[in-house]
Amino acid sequence: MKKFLLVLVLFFGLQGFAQKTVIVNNFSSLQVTIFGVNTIGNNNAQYPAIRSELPSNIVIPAGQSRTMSSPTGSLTQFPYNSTASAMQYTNWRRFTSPTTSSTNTSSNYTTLYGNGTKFNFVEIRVGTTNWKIGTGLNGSSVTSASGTSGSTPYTITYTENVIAPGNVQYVIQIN
Amino acid sequence: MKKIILFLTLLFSLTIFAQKTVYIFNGSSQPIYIAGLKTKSLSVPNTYLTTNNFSVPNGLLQPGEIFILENVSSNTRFPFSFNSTQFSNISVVNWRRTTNGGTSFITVSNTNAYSNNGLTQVFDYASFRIGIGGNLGSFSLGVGLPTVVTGSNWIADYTVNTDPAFPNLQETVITISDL
Repeated sequence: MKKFLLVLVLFFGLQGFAQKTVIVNNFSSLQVTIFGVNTIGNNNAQYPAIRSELPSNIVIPAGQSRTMSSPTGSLTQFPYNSTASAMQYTNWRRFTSPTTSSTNTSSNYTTLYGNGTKFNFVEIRVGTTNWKIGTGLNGSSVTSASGTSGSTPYTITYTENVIAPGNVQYVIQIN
Repeated sequence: MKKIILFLTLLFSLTIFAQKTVYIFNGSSQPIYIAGLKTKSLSVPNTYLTTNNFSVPNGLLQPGEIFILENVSSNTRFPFSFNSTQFSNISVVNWRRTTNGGTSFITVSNTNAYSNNGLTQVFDYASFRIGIGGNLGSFSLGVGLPTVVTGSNWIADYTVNTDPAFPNLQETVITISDL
């Protein structure tokens, strides 16, 4: 009976766990601005690629965090339609080549491309410096960076936590 | 205990997704006419199904609409019969089946096709006309065809959603957009 309950708890726990969650922790004393979230296909192909469009900027004050997760608890979809933690995009733009793209709503993108895409990198501004932080795939992103804003030094790190197959947390942390 | 785990595993897998889903999204400002859909067999080359019989005349897919073939009841069958939430007014009325490579066809219902051919058929390609009455051109997208087609102020592309973490996941996505 205990094993049965354990399995049930595990099962429903997995059901309620949003997959492909993006977390941005600003643990620094600086303001951070996210001006782009980028995804790519699960096959790591350079195109098609998808980038957030609206809003163009999301500000994270010092000491705060933002999260993107599936509002429906989807186990497979990238949460283009996230409504969590004031990190909500209404429109995304999909690039089929460097010069060819189209835009549409977060809802449509979740339905059409959520299951086939994953996080690639974020474009963020710390102080007056812009960074691309993420998986290192395409897009010239890097997994760590450091700099100084005024007299305040900071570091940015990217971590991918694989909790279970398909259940991944993409964590960007500014210290 | 093994049965319980088996049951839960099965339930879990069924709630994740329905494979073999087909999405056709008219993200352009032009009317799209779905001229035809075709499947192909994984095991019997001369057997395939097609349709150009839709609930809307000429297979009209209006700007902003998504045509969906999805049957969440099965994780393995091609959704000749569909039960997902529809994002358009258009649906398939019936299918035509050939077992001799197109020499002759018989008309079959959605449920008949789903039951008898769902396990062995997969998406092959779809054909379209674009613009009022098709005045901006025609194109086909699918397996073995160019993945991107462009025309006068429009672009169409074909993508298959897969995920190594979920080997059974296979979603066909065709998107038509303005350039």
